[in-house]
Amino acid sequence: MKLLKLPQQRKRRFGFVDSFLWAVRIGALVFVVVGIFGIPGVAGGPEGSLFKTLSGEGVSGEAWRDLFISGLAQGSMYGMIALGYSLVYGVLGFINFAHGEVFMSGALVSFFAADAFATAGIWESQPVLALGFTILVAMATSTIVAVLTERIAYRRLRGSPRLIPLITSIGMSFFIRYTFRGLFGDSFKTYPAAPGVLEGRATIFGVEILKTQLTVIVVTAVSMVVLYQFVARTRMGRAMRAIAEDREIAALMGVNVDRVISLTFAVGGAMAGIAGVLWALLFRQVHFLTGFLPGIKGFTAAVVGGIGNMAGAYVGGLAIGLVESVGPLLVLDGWGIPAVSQLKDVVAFSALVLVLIYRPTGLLGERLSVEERG
Amino acid sequence: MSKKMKFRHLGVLVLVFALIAAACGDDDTADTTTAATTADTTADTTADTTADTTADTTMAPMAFPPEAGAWGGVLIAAGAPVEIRTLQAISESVAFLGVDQNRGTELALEDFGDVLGHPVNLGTAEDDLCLGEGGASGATAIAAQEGVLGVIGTTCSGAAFPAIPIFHAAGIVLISGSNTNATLTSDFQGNAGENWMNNYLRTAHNDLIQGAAAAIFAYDNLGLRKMGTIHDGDPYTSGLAGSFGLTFTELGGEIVVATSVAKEDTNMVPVLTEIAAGEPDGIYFPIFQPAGDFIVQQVGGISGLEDVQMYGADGLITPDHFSLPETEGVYYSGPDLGFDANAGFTGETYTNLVARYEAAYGELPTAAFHAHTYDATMMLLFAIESVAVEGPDGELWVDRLALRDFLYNISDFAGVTGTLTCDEFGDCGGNVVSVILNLDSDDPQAGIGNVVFRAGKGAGGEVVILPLG
Amino acid sequence: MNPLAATSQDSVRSAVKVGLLGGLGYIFVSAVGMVEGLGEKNVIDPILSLGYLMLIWVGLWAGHRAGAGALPGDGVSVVGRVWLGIVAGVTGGLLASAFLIWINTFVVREVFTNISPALIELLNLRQGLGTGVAVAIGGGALLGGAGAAIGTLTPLMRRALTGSFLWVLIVGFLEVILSQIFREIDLGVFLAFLIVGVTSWILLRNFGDSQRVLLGGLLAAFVVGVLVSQALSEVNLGLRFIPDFAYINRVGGRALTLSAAAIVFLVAFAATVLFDGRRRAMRARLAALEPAERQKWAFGLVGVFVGLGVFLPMILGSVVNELLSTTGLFLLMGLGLNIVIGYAGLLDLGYVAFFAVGAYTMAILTSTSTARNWAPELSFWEALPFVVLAAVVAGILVGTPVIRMRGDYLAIVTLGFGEIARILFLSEWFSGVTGGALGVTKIPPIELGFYTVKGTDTQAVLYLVLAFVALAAFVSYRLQDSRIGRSWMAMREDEEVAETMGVNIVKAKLLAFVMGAILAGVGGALFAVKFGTIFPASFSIIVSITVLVLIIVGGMGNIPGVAVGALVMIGILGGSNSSGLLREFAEFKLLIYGALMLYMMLNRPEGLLPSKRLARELHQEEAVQDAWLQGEIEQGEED
Repeated sequence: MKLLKLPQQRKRRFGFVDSFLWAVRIGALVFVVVGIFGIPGVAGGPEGSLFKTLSGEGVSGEAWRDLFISGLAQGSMYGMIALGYSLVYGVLGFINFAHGEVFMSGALVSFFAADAFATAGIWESQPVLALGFTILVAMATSTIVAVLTERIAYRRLRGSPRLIPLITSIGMSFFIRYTFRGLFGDSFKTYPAAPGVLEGRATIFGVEILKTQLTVIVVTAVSMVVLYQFVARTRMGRAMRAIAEDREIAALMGVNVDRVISLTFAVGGAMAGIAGVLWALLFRQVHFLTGFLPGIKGFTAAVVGGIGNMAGAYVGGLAIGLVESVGPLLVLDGWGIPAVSQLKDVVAFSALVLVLIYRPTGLLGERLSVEERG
Repeated sequence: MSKKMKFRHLGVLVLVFALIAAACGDDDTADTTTAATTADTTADTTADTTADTTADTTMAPMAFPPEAGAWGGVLIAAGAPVEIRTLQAISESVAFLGVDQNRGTELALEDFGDVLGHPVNLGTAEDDLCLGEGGASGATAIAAQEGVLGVIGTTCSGAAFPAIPIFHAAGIVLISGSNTNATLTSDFQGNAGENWMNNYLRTAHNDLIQGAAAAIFAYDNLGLRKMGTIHDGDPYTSGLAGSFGLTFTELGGEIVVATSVAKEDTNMVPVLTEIAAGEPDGIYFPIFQPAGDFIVQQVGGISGLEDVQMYGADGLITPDHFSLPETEGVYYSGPDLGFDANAGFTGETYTNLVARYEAAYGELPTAAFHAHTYDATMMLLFAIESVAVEGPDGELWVDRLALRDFLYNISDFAGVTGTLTCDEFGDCGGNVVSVILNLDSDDPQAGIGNVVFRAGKGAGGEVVILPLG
Repeated sequence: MNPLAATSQDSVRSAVKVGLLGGLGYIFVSAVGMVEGLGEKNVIDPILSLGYLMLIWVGLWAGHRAGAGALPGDGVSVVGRVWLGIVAGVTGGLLASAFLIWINTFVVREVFTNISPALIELLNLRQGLGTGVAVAIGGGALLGGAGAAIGTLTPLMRRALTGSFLWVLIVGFLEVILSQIFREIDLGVFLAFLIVGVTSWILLRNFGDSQRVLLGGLLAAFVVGVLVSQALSEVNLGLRFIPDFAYINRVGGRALTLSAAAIVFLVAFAATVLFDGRRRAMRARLAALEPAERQKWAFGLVGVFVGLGVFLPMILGSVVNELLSTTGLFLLMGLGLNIVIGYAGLLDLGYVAFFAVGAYTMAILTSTSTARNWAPELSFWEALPFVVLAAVVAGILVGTPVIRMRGDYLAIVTLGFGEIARILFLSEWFSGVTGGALGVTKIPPIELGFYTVKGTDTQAVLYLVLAFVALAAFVSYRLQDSRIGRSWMAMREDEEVAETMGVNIVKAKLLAFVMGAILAGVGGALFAVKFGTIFPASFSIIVSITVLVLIIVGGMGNIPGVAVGALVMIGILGGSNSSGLLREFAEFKLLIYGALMLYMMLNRPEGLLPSKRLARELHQEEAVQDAWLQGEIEQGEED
């Protein structure tokens, strides 16, 4: 009587799913390659975007460069946001939907600081001081919001089936978003233009970059390095890593789990706050809905890079930013699809699906605690 | 009987009775006639008793209230208010449009005053959510209330599509100060729009005119030959960009890239790069804030677009947008706002109106359509006043079909937006479109008033150029 | 002995904390704009505006919490509790006064846009800062004491008091709907209710054992009822004097008059008190029923629902019917998502994609618009099989790539698919088929042969939606106990074990996605017909989230729970794209959404109408504690 089929007895047939996935893998590769390089020798067929550039039409060389840098800048900010998602997921195992609003809160509140500086003239005369202080305000706000969400909502839900914290975080995100709307109104807050010292382009290694974009890339990179040092060298950082590895054992080793989890949220919040000011520097306008889409992209980036993995969050962010920026023109345009920029989110999410199909644990692999791995 | 059988029986029950009941379902039109007939019966008794006492009438005393027309009528008791409603987008991102229009309505109410001694009641302002669902639920809520004679709205054309039939079933007229979609009225060639119904009018312009006029300006006046267009996925902006493209191509120009962004996009480098690849002379981007803000702010940083002429539309004609330094030198098409010389129905000038707007609401008008809505409200109140029949005891009787007919026959109505004449498909607006140029971001109001081109609708539905100011 | 001395230090301290929270609540409600925004609407004319009501509620809550927070061992008397309530109220009032002083002195409107001069006027009761502060502190004390006092009443009294006040609020809020119902209710429906109700009662009482007689009798009653309702539908019952008396016209909308409010309150109060005994007796009797008897009552209950479904739309009026049909569409989607998440455990956050596929398929195939001349103009019924087919294909396309993915990856990928679907429907690329941003218009009404169901005919649309919902509920119910249903549940609990037990995981997952897709697709098709036009903006991610929240808040995994969730979230609060019954709150709808979700998840995660199993699972610790307290298990034993 064959009641049980033990795993080793099951033949791993090349089933429907596998053939579908392989079809997707190959199909995607073909699609991308044709989009970029075109089909040589086929009259009237798609002309790859690279082909178009080389023949003088299409996107120019400088434009590709600008797209690339813009993608890097955007991606760096996604990376900073992704960090919050990644850290929380690695430790607590759920998607903190409210993190996008943590980002927004920093950007929105620091506007008032920036505006005050601009009115007082300090924004132009002492840009480093003004910008630095604005970033501090954003960091403080985002950190407070993040820690509060943890204390009020998530602490009580540790150990609940994972759907519950997820819904709670969705509710929290709505609550924060519309509270901020109620408090600060729904008009757009326009940041002062970048201080004179950051206007125009700079030439780095022979490449011309907009100074604001350069600032974004540099500040995020520096923040990442500082964070890495913090986590690697300090005691609190070690405690964070311990909890991320195995919460129970860490508690037995004397780590104050509650406090360190709050710290994890705080760190994620601080990074999001920095991202908020950088975002405002690049795009100037913020309002209560600013956090919605970057939040989703942030989590996408965290998954793409490898969830729970700090470096993964950064890499994932850069990947999503680049794919979003360069992808439509590089791949879709080559196929003759009209209005490709409209499809940039399609490209970003398709990239997510493809990364997970090619490499199910994300680009740099996931890092989860023992509780979540099981 | 097993459980299975039992439930099957129940299922049959459900379906059968749902279908039967649906077959005998009440239609909404039944409701208005009931109201009319009950109104008739209560009014008749008073008419009878007073008929004998009215002696000094020069003509034979008429029965009050008169017999109701095909759409029924509304009897307003003495001292009771005249009921009209508003259905605008008053929440979320387009609130600046809807709230602005509601303010126009409120100002009109102030100016018009009472209708034959009866105050006018606006009731609760309904929200059309700028979506079909909002239009439908708002329209249903309004149609469920008693005695509503007309509705001012909707803000977004998308909300009007389901709202119009719902109002039509209840005999309520809908007048919009900002819908511009062509299929809601006509194509100006004598063909009714696909979605037109005879209870709908508007004082705003028709999309066909704006797109065409904008294109003529670009081609003839600015000498642009290669253009890129950007819309933002909204039916309005997409329709406008499309109609612009059509006319521009007809004139001999070339649309090198027609693309779009999403409303919440912030990074415009990719889309601008896509357009730059076509090497255009100009970019027409009839979108809304904040996307429009991002476009003007980021276009300067794209290689290849340093000298391109930027050209927006009325979604961006707000003081907010005009105070951005990057908007200097940018043209914007939109409904003509050169109303300063105009006086409305009650003689109120537009300049005065704006001053009162600011005094009452603490800010200057936030969008372009408050004046059109002011006129729409005026038209409605004027029509109600004109067709109302006064009763012997201070009641009022308004026949719905007579109201609609009067509105459709309005001609040479003095509005702050110009002289309004309604055509057979409900297009009452002056259909005057203008292009403005923002020169100084420190004085946005001056920019909003800086008209460099005006065009309107000719007799045959074509675009005719009008003198400035 | 001084009764006040009996209150411990701890109680006082916690009362102060509660008071501070209350004060924060006052500040929050004011700063977010609720007091001003809702200030126009008078709930009870002329004294109680909605804006003030929000503040009053904060005060009462604080008092109640403080009074109730006194430790039981305190032996705290009524006076003691009231004292605690007053303490809380005064503390909150002090905090509120500080806020008042601040906003009266400084102009903060630049930063906090809703702290306007109008708000300050309202908070100061139009008299000036002194009055404002006095009201804050004095009102705080009063409300705090009252709140605590309410807590000291017997449960029955408390329920009666709060319930009656709630009824007054409900009658006030639902003015438009109630007015319409009373104005339009006709003799036919009334008689129909009577006929069906009395017949069913008699039948159940006397012939409950004979299924055949029962069914036949009910059928006959229904037929007679429907005929009567149609025959006498023109005879108005003349009940319009009721709303005319109860409501008075005001600027913000009709408000309840004081006398009417008093009447409602007294009637509700009396009813609660008088029928309390009856209620408990009923409960006891039901609990003591034998299974056979219980089945009879269950059958009766279903019959009641069917009856309500047939007759209620005739009296509820167009506004409620329209709202209920939207609720029904979301309920349809909820049932589908319940299969995907509730039965099969697959966290799908991009459910709106299937909804969009169904809507667009129906729209494209049936539209008479000239924008799409190449498309056939099928009828609704001819197009429906294609809708199902499209949904199946969509389900397979979405389900296959995610089969091997883990829970939360599944979530974000499906979310991505949802967005991809929406953008593709919106795109220029496919605009030749889908109309791009301009959507698809001129979707014709449904022909039933003998009747045309137009989108504007709220009653007929509701019947149609209810019919499909009933079908979907039936299918869901059968799936639950079927073999595939049990495979899903096994898979949900532990995928590997299920696979070892012989469950074909691939087939199970795909089937779940496909079933969910079909239900959402049909919902989308009905959506397209109801509104006659569809625009891509209606298919955003927020719809997916709304459906998810509604099945969680209602109670996941069980069908009545999903229905309750739909009624509460969509019907009362208003869904993503529509406003519900509480139209006044429209501006704050999403804020309330968030707060409600937080409250539900933190206090009652199993949902409003949970399945017993889920409730026990989620409150495991408490269940064990309770069992221990009741001596059912010995200390040291584990459940």
